Order: sequence, then structure tokens, then C-alpha cells
Amino acid sequence: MADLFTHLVSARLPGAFVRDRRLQALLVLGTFLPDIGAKGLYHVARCGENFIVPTHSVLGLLVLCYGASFLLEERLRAGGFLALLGGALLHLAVDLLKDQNGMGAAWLLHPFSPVGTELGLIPTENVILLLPIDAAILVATWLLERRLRRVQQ
Amino acid sequence: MKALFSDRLWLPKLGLAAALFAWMGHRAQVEIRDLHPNISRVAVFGDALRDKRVSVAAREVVGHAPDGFDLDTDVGSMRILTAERPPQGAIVTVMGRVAGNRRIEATRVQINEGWKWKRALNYGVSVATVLVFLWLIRKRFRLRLSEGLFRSRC
Repeated sequence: MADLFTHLVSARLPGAFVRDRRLQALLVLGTFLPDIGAKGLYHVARCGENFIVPTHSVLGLLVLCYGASFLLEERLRAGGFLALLGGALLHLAVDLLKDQNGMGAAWLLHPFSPVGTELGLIPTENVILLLPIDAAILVATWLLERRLRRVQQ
Repeated sequence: MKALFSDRLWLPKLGLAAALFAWMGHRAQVEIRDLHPNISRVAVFGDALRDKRVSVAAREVVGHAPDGFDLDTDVGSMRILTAERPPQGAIVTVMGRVAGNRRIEATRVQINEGWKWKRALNYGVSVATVLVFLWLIRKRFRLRLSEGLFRSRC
């Protein structure tokens, strides 16, 4: 898995353009959801290693985010669902960059196809080496956000 | 569309979502078990699974042989048939095809340098990220666990 700091950073740039700060937070939480779901099912619920596949598929995430949206109050639920789903799909996009030895980093079309997909650009354990770049992007996004807020004022 | 996200019948809707997710998980178990058998099955049913694609992630090289090297797995040592000779003690990921009981013909061997500290750092950074982020956004939401909901403060 790519570390969740990298996933957080991937959501901060699109998040800068979301005005509602609650939805902004849910977009970031959506990027955590696939891995929290997968690790929870595997380590806590002790499910089989392939049972977690829907946590990294488009349809599985649609269902997972729908379920998670019931943790939100009714008036925030539909928007919250879209924010969570947007974040979760960003997570899949980042994971697709990984090299998982041809086994696939995401199962985009599951349950219609059991074949995993990956672009194989960076070995999975080396994603952690991107931390300094992630931190630089985070600072740049924060500065952009401040500037946008000033313009709005 | 509005009915999907309303409070009305929220429990059956949540139950349906959980059931659908569980069905997808079960389906993945069955399909991928056939497509890429788990390494523990290769140890027992190797001949029956011949030519199936398998992956063994981040395991230690425990010895060498004329036709390859031995890898430590949860179900004991496994012979990897390949011309490559990663050093003993190295952590490697192997992709290959089942060639018999406890034998895998490698199509790709990847040496995972620094795997242990990178993995530990990955988990540490991930847990810290979630905890710090939840702390930072705590003011945007308030907990109403008695109602089973997170409520926004706005």
C-alpha cells in the first residue's frame, strides 16, 4: 500500500477548490477509506486476503462510501457520499501507479472481472520515499489555498 | 435519488450495502483463489495447480540450489526455479507459475531492498497521518454516537 500521507496529499490539491470545509475533510477521509477498509477486514475481521478486493474496486468503493455516508447527518449525506467517493477514486488512481509484480494494485472492474490492474511505475515499498515531495506539495497547496481565500475575501 | 440518502429506512439500506459488499468479497475470494492460488495451497496441491500464476510477496531467501533458491514462507520453504541468485537473507518478491509441490518457476524476481524499515515507516506515517488529520478536523464535526451519527457543527 502507498502510505496514507501520500493519499492525503493527492486529495489536498482538488480539495483546495472545495468551498465547504466539511466536504473538503470528507474528500481526504475518502482517500483513507480503501486502506482502512482493507486493513480492517484483513487484520481485525480476519477475512481472507482476497475478500478485501472490493475495497480497491470502483463498484466496491461505491458501496463502501454509500455505507460510510450513513455516519453523516441527512443534510450532509449526499454531498458527503460524493466527497468520500471522489477521495476513494483518487486513492485508486494513486495506487494504480504502483508496481505489484503484475498481480494488480486495483481491481477496477471487479466483480465483472477478477483481473488486477497496475501501471507499474514505482515499486510499492518505494512510495514511502516520496515523503519529501509530498510535504512540498502539501505546503504549496496550503499557500494556494490561502491565496484563494484572500481573493474570495 | 433523495430516498437513497434519507434517514427513512436507513438501517435496511445500510444492511443492503453491507450484504452487497460481503457478496463482492466472497466472489473475489472464489475467483481469485482459482486465478492466483495462495502459496499455502501450492505447498499441498502443487501438481493440481500446475501452471497457475502465483505471487509471493516480501519473503526471505534462506538458501541456494543449482536450479534456483529457497524462499521462507508461512508454510515452510519453497523452491524458486530461476537463473537469478539473490543473496541469502535478502527479501524478495517473486512472480511465477506453479511447477509442482513447493516449486515455483519464476517469471520475475524483485529484490525489496530496505523492505523492513520502509514497511515500518509506511505504517507509522499512515497511522500518524490519520490521527493528526482527525484531530485537525475535529472542530468541523461533533460526535453524536447516541444517535449513531456524526453531526456537522454548521
